[in-house]
Formats: sequence, structure tokens, C-alpha cells
Amino acid sequence: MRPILDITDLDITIAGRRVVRELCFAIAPGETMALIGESGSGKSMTAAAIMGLLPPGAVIADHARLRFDGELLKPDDDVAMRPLRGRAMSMVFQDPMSSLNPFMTVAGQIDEALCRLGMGDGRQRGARRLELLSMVELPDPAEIARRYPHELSGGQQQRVMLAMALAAEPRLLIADEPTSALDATVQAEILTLLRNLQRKLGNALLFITHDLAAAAELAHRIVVMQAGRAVERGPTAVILRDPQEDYTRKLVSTRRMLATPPQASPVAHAVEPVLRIEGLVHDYPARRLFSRPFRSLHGVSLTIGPGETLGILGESGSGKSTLARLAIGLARAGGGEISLFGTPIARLERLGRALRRRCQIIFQNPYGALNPRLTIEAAMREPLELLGLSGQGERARLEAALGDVGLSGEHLGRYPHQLSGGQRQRVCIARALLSEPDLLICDEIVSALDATVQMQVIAMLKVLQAKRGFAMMFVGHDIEIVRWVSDRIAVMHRGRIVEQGPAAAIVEEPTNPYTQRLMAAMPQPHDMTSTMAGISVLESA
Amino acid sequence: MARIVAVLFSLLRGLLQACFIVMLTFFLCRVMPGDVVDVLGLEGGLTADQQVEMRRNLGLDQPLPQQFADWVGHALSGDFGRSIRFDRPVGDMLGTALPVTARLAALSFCFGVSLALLLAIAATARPSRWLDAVIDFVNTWSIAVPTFCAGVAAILVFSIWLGWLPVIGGLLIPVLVIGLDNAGQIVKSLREELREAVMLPHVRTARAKGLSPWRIAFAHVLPAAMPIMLALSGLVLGGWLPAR
Repeated sequence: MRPILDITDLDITIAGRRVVRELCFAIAPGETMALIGESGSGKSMTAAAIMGLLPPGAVIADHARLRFDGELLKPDDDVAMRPLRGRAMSMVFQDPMSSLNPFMTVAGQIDEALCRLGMGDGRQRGARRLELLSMVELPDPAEIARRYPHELSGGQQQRVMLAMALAAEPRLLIADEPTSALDATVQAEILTLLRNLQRKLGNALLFITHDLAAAAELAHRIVVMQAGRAVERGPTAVILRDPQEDYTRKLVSTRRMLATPPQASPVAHAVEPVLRIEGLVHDYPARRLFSRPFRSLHGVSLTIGPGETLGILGESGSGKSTLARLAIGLARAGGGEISLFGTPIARLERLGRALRRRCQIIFQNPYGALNPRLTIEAAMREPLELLGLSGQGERARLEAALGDVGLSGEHLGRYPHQLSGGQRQRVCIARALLSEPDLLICDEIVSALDATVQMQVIAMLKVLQAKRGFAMMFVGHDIEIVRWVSDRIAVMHRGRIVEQGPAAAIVEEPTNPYTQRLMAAMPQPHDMTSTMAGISVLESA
Repeated sequence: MARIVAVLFSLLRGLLQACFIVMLTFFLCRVMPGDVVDVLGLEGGLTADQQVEMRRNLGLDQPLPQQFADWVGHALSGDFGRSIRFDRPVGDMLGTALPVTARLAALSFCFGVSLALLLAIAATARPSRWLDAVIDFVNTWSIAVPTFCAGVAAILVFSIWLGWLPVIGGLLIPVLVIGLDNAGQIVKSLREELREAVMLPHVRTARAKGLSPWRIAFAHVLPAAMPIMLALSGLVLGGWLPAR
């Protein structure tokens, strides 16, 4: 069968840098192909090139050939590409919130796509609109059509994007990280929807993702990209079972590592907990004169023992980051009690220096957490000076701290922009550990990092914890990562802890309905679990 | 409903602000020692008795709060008092000046905004150094050349040397001169805003839908640049009406 999309020798250069090199692949009609790679691997550029939507300054080499259904594409020629877009091929993007026009209702935006298909009659369009919205399994299509994008949830927005993209029943749908900006439960729903729609409409699907599990669930074939090159390709099952290239092996072994978390550390319960929270309430103040304040935490209670890791698992908006900030005195509680190392802090204006030294926090975004105008040395020296810990042998101490996180003294003179995301987060960890805290609060510290880097960072964190014995509050939304790091897990939903217990029990035998739903959404491709079992057997043999 | 309340709320706030400004102006005028009678006294040599008499007639012997209450009372009933210099009711003077001012302001504003929009959209749709140079020129012109200078120069050139247009009463030159000034104040920021708006993800979606460039420009790019455009236009309009 003739491939619907056939790419040979694709080369894309931006400002002299080759972001895609000698890329070749083909997609058969009705087939799903996953393009996997980390950020900067050139996968989104490839998608943009196919649609002719490359940013200004990106140049495709002359020898590249992109054929769509046998016809040669001219991605540089907007006029030639326009008739194809939205008709024969269409695309959904990563962030549905910003990809929809905020000034237009859902109906208006879908209408636009239908008008472009030459559907002149208003009533006909209305009917087709409802048909499309129910096709993407939106409840009450008529009501949804009247709304503006900000009145929809993230999952609903992505469904609207899909309805729009599928308006013309295109032969090729490109989905560029369609679920990366969504919560785990929503992500699973959208993936299922994509597969069902494809089965119904028979379109080919180019699925671009950094998530091996998602790709394994959806794709027939996988192309793995690294630094602009396709390093490995083949049927999904084969790639997962028998990865050839180093990089692919690392990706697969990352998943394997997640599947086998380390043993929970024994916790002595008799001693005073490092953190005890009782009935904690927090309100965000009302935005306007007559509106009510928003209650983000409704009576949260938890304890963390010395050396213990408590995972706080929740989707966006569940109040988990607010909880982290309250626990370290960065926000004021509306009610309830927080006891840090036995000192009540809920009513304190600010934490004393002694308490500050004993608890440290690391944030999600390693790009924003380091001052771009300070060298790493200056950035790390700052907390030492503030806490009055500076003195003799400081430089040696900083070097040792960097050594602990797998960096070295040579990084001290660099600026944050000269480091990769993973290195920056390592610096943040080293900085937090300088004061030798007894409690480390990690607020989504790996969610901005690529999969393989994520694993390196959390593995390193666990090693450091074993050596130093600090307690951790590990806030995250990725079930597998939180499970891997934590001894116990507390699941948060809408400002409440709905379930709390040993990590294994929470993940494997959840009792709360919400937790059950969350765990069911965890991607569990059968190929992969069997593959992993196989690998573990081999290793133990 | 919430939107109507919000609009009413900001209208009410604007009204309160206006009242406060009126009050402040009234009292600030009276902070300085001396009053209008002193000025006339210096000019025309009024006797002390006449000055006292005049103060009584004008109500200037009353305590300040009383004067303010009187003035507000009259103003609310449509009587803004008499101009002592021109010896005409202030209300009449406003009445004759306002329609001309409003027409001039409205026309030049329309011309200015259209020109700014045209230039900014054209420069966004077809980026060229030439258009950007025009935009920079208009912008610099509005900063560097005061309208009264440009106006005098234009009268000199078009009315006196070339004799194409009347010196007094013609609207064309004022509209062009003031409009160009308005356009210069808006066009640069609008261009920058549009430059960023075309990079927005939802504009990329519109392109992925295969829409025509015009449709994309008017339905997707322009609305995104609207807030800054409205804010700037408000400033420009607010500046011209009282100033003419």
C-alpha cells in the first residue's frame, strides 16, 4: 500500500543549528506512528514541517522530500500548503488552553473550520457541529458549543481541538504532545478517545510524545529521535522488548526502574515527627468585593517521621503545592495547626533562623529558581551567609555539596543558562542540602525534566537521603515517580487528603473511589509489563 | 449580569474620581492668596468699597465650603456662571466650542486609528523594512513635532503659499495634523503587539485549520492586540477632547 506520508532525508536548520538531521519515515493509511524523543530532539519541528507551520527562520534543506499520498509537499509555500491543512491533514497541539482562541466561542471556532470546508448553510453547520462534539464524547454538546475556552476544563478543551481537527475527516492527524499538559486521569481518557476515533474514521495518526508509556499504548510503530536523528525504529512491541540503541535502552530501563521501587525504609514511630499537620485550612482571599474566598485546603492532617518520605499525590488544583508552602511557613494558615520539629508555626509571622536551617524547599522550575545573574557559586553561597553558616573552608564545602549531586567544582563558576535543566535542578538540591536540613520539601521537582533525567535526579535524591537521613515531603502528580520515591503516600483531591497509607498499598489496592480512578489511569501497556517482568526474571536468574 | 455590575462599578468609580478632581481643582484655585477681584482691582483701580461690593455680589465673602456648595448647586442646574473676562455665560461658551471640538477630535481620532491599524496590519502581514521605517517615522514625528508647529507649517504651505485650502474654518489640515499625531502614538505599540500576537499558539491553530490570511488577521490576530489598542486609544482620545 502506498504510504500516506513519506518523509526522506528531512533536514531542518534554525540559525545555523541543525535541529533535524537526515530523518526518514513513512506512515501507512490508518496506521499510528509514535515519534518519541526528549525536549529539543526535533520531533515537534518535524510535525511543523509536515504542516508547513515552521517558525520563521527555520529552513528545510533542498534535498528533503516530503510526500503526502504520493504528492510532493512544499512546506515553504504557504499558498500551496493551505488547501491541505484542515482538509487532508490536521493537527492538535500540546497546550489546548492557549491553542484555542480565547475571544471566540467553541461554536465559532468549529464553524470557522466548517466554513473553510465550504459548508455554507448555517443549519447544516449547526448539526455537524453537534455531531462533531458528541463524536469526541463531550457531554451536552449544545451547551459546550456556547462556551468560551476558559469556561472549559483542560480535557474538554483538548476534545474541542480534536473535534475541530477532525471536522474534515482528514487522512492524517498529527497530535503533538496532546496530553502532556493534562492531568493523569484526563490523559488516559484522551488517549483512549484518540484510538477510538482512529478506529472509527480510519485516519493515520502521527503521535508525538516524550512519554514511552503513552506511545506504547497507542502506536503500532515507534521512531525514537535523539538530537534530531532517528536513532531507532520498529514495531512497538519489538522496541520495548529488545531496544538496540543506548538511548532507547535508557528510556526503557527508566520505565523498568519505575516498576521496581526500592524497599520502604523502616520508620520509628515512637519519636517526635519532624512535621505534624492537624486540620489545616487555607483560603485564597476573594478577588473581588462580593465574591467568596477560595478554600484551597479543607482540614488536612498528616505527619512525617524522621527519615521518612511522604509522597503527596494529586492533580493540578488539588492544593498540594499550597500544602507544601504552608508546611515551610511560606504562606499563612487559615486554621489548624502545623508543628515543625515540635514548634507550632501556623501562627508565626516568619520562621526563625534555626527552624529555616532545618527545613528546606526545592521548587518545580529549576529555570526560575536560580538567579540568572548569579554564578552557581554565588547562588549557593547566599543561603550559607543568610543562615550564618559561612566561614572557613567554604569553597571546599560547596565543592563537596556539588560532588554529592554528581556535579563538580568546575560548575561553580558557571551561570545557570550554561547548565542543562537536570544540572540546574541538581544545583537546587545541593543548595537546599547545604544547611543539612532534617526535612526537605520537594514541590514537583522533576516534572519540568525529561524522563531519563527525572530518573537520575530522584535516584540521586534517594541515595542522598539514605546517607544523610533527612525526611522528605515529595509533592508530585506522576504516580509512578511518587510511588518510587515515597514510603507512604497521601492522595489529595480538591483540598482534602482522600486516602493515606503505605505507598504500595495506595497504588496497588486503593480503597477510595477517586484514588481507584487515578490508579486506573496509569498507563499499563500489556506489552510493556510483560516485557518488564521478562527483564526482571532474566536479571534475577 | 456580573459583567453589567462590573461596568456599572467602573462607571461609578469614574464618576467619583471626576467629582474628586472637581473638588480638588476648586479648592486648589483658592489656596493662593488673592482672588479675581484683586486682579481686576490691580487692572482697573477699583475703590475699596467697590471691591467689597463686588466680593459680596460674587459671593466671595462667604466661607469656602459655602462657596463650593453654591457653585455645585448652580453647576448642577446648568449655570456655570459668567466669564468675567469675556462677559459671557460660561455655558454658552462651552456650547459653541464643544461641537467643533468634538467633530475635530472625532475625525482626527478616526483618521489616526485607521492609519495606525492599516500600517500595523500591513507591516505584520507583509514584513518589510520599508513599512517599519514608515512606522518609525510616524512615531518619531508624533513625539518630536508638536501639533501647533506642524499646524502652522501646514497653514503656511497649503493655505498661504499654495493657496489650496482656507486659512480659517477648514477641517482638513487640523484633522490630518492631529490624526497623524494620534497615529504616531498608537502605531508603534500596536505593531509590537501584533508582532507578538502572530506567534500565539491559537494563531498557529488557525493556520493549521487552513484559514485564509485575512480571516486569520481579523478574527484571530487583531482581537489579541485589541486590549492594548483600546487602552492607547482611550489615552489619545482623553488627551484631545479637553485640550482643544
